[in-house]
Amino acid sequence: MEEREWVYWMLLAHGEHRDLRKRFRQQQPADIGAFLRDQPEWTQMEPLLTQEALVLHQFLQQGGQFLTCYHPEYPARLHDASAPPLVLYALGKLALLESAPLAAIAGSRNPSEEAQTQTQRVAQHLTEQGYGIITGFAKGIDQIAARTALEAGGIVVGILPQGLLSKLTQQLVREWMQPLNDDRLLLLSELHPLAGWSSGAAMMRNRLVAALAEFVVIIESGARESLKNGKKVFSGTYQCAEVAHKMGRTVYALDLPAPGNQQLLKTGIARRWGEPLEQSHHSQLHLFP
Amino acid sequence: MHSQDLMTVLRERFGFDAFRDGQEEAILAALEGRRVLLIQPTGWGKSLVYQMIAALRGLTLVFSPLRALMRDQVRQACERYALRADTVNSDMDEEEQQAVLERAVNGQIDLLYIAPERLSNPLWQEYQLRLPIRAVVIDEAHCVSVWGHDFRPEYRRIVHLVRLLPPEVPVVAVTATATPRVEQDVREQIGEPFHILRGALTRPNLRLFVQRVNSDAEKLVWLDHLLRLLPGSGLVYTATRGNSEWVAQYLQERGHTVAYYHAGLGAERTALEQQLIRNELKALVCTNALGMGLDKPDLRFVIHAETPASPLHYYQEIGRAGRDGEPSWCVLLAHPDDKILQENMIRNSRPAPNAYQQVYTLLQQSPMRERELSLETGLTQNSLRTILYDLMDQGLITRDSERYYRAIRRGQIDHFHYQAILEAKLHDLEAMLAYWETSECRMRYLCRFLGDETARNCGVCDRCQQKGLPPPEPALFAEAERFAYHPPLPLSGVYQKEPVYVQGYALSYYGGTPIGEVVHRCKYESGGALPDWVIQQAATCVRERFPLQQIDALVPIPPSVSGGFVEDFARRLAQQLGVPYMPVLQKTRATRPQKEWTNKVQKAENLKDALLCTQPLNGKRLLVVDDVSDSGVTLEVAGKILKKAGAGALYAFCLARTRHRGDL
Repeated sequence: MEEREWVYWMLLAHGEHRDLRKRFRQQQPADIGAFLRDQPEWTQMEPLLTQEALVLHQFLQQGGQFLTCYHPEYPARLHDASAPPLVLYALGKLALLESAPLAAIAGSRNPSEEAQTQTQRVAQHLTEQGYGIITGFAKGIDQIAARTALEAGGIVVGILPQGLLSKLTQQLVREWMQPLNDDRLLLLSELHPLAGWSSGAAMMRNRLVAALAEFVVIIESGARESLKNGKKVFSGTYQCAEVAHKMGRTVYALDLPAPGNQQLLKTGIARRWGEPLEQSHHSQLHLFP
Repeated sequence: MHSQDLMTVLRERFGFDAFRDGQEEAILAALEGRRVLLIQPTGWGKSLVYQMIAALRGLTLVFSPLRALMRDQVRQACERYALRADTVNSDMDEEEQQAVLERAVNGQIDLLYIAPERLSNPLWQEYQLRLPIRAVVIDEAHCVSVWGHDFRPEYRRIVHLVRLLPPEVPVVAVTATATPRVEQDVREQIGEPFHILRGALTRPNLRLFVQRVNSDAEKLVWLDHLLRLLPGSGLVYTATRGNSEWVAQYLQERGHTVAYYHAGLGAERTALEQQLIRNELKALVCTNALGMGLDKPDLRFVIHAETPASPLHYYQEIGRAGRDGEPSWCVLLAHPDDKILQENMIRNSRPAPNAYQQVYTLLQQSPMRERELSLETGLTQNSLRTILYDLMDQGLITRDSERYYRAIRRGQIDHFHYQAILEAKLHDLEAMLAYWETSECRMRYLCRFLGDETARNCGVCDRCQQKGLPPPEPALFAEAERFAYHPPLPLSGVYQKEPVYVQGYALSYYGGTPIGEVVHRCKYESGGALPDWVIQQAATCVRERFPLQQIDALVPIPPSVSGGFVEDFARRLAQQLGVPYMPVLQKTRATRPQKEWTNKVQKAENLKDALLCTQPLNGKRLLVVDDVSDSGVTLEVAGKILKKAGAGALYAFCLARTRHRGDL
């Protein structure tokens, strides 16, 4: 019975054992239980089985779904990402991933007014063109794009940088309950359900946003790196563009004065949003207004 | 794990030289990753099976339905086998809970008892990722199944959890009673590979009797008689709280040291149990709120004043008698009305479909906590919780760790499922009623119903002996008839943890009695005012049944439509009794007659905010008067409003009550 294997997957995916994951990815064993029982790490893992089952149970009671990379519903596009997630947690309808091509919208948490207006315009337009919107579902640009798309009758996928049972997510779920229940919003996370927000995870989730999207639109990005209180900080939006670019996804950036936007356009990582394409990957759809 | 190792642990840790038949098999099967269901009678040693597993594997989580039960088992495990057992439950404050959980985290607990609801408790959830749980036990496993005698929707959560456990985690489910259908249900829910051990159910020291009674008076006579006849102390089961109080009152008047016991009582329940255990009471007259967890091996008799809902209930309830193996008596008093009584209880056990829809619709609009829902819907706590559990069970809603309920999908509420359960329950009731008539050995009949085909004739029941109980003295009848003439009212409301009414009586039954006919004529066929003889009888009854010196005034219930029938009756009764007449209850809006509604929830809805009290009552002790009482909801609602206005003790009196709900 597959359900009884899920906690093996959790232990494999979230534990400290990097080597173990490496071996697993190399061998791709058919029977995960048998594989794990043969590993030297097993003695440390076995006592944790019930604990993980309790957490998973709590998650499933919330209407959540659990998916392993062996599952037929596991989205094939995720294999384009580096280290594709071994497990995925979902709230909402998984089939949304198949129901429309997805366009990613990314941008700052604290957007300028101009950027907010542009977000609505872009999200509205892409929705009208039949795209679903995928974002990191952070405050600011991400959620404005989501709200706009939903109001325009579209669908939205959010990749969360925290576990789906965390307090943060519970608040989000209460706030966005209607579109979740209307099968128009899907929230995904690769993290342990109880994991809190972390900047590392926020960066890591960009690869999933990019992998699931056909292309990425950068609304407003900070500079690639800057100094804040004497510390070097990296822009998440910028990193998203880089990751997508490396993966071979087309990246567009709005021609706004934001330093990151200009940097992206100058380096050629991004094309200017609104400029005609020489050869479009998305020719069947009218991308630009 | 080898048998030899098991034997070593058994000897060194538990002090036994050998296993009972099946115990070792069960332990080995569980350790090998099979899901084990043990159906064995009380005393067989089911707990040894999982105590052994705890001793071998470490922290074992035991799901148990009742706090009282947990306390007993914790004590037993600690005292008998020096196992480190404890419980986390809602009786404990947060600090105490935390202390236990910390000890569990630190590996200082072998057996941890919790109720299934605990799984959604925020503190528990905070700890669950640190608890080194190595095995899971489902005690009273029949609670998983709607076909069992004590289905608990919260038990479904355990099932969902167990299905996620890989074979490395032993799972043991135990119960004393499971019909083949319950067994099948548990198996389907818990999943394969499944290992079942079913033991013989015959209890050779129980002597089963059925005694027909044809009236309430005759029932009382038999109870009086049996308490004189039977040795030791025991239980008298009644089907409702009201009946337990009524029967206890009569038996007390007849000089027996008995007390009533039901879920409406608070902390004194433990004290009553202790009195019974110390044989200071001849009997507790109780509802099925008493049972699981009562630790009295020398309980000599269990009498049923009313027929229970199924042979499973019956077997479970009589199973508490004679655990010491000494001869014990189990007498069922069979009254023709029992069938309707049970049928009504089965039909009223679930809130109305529109209440389900109301809750579900609200939760689709926005997430809410229980309190908001209760304010929004006006449903009773019990109904609301039943609905919430059912909707969660159907996967339509959920509750998050901040106690918000919300819809998790749009779907249809499945009422069909409940209809099927209802029909199955009615079917089980038929099997119970057939027990009255069966010519078979009574013990064998029960065991066969429960799936034990190996049972033989017991040789000691009224069928095997072809001899009933010695009959009561005819002299006992007069007193019982006088008492039974004025039936008690079905009153169940609670205000600030105390029953709303101290007591309540009707002058007579509504159907088939002279008073009932007069009331019906006057009330519904415009037969005019009540004749004086009715008022006089009412006054006599009130003087006889209520402490009149302690009643300050008489309050009528205002009518639903119009007409001064109740007022007229109440005013004349007050005059006759010489008690002030105080019409302090007023209607704020029109209501429909209560008899037009089919369930208690709707009746309560009909009256919601429709009554108010016109003046503060400053502790006044009141006799609340109505004409006919059916469900008791009107009296309950009115009583709560009077209490809120500051009333002291409340008593209720009606001209007539229906025999069964909905007989108006």
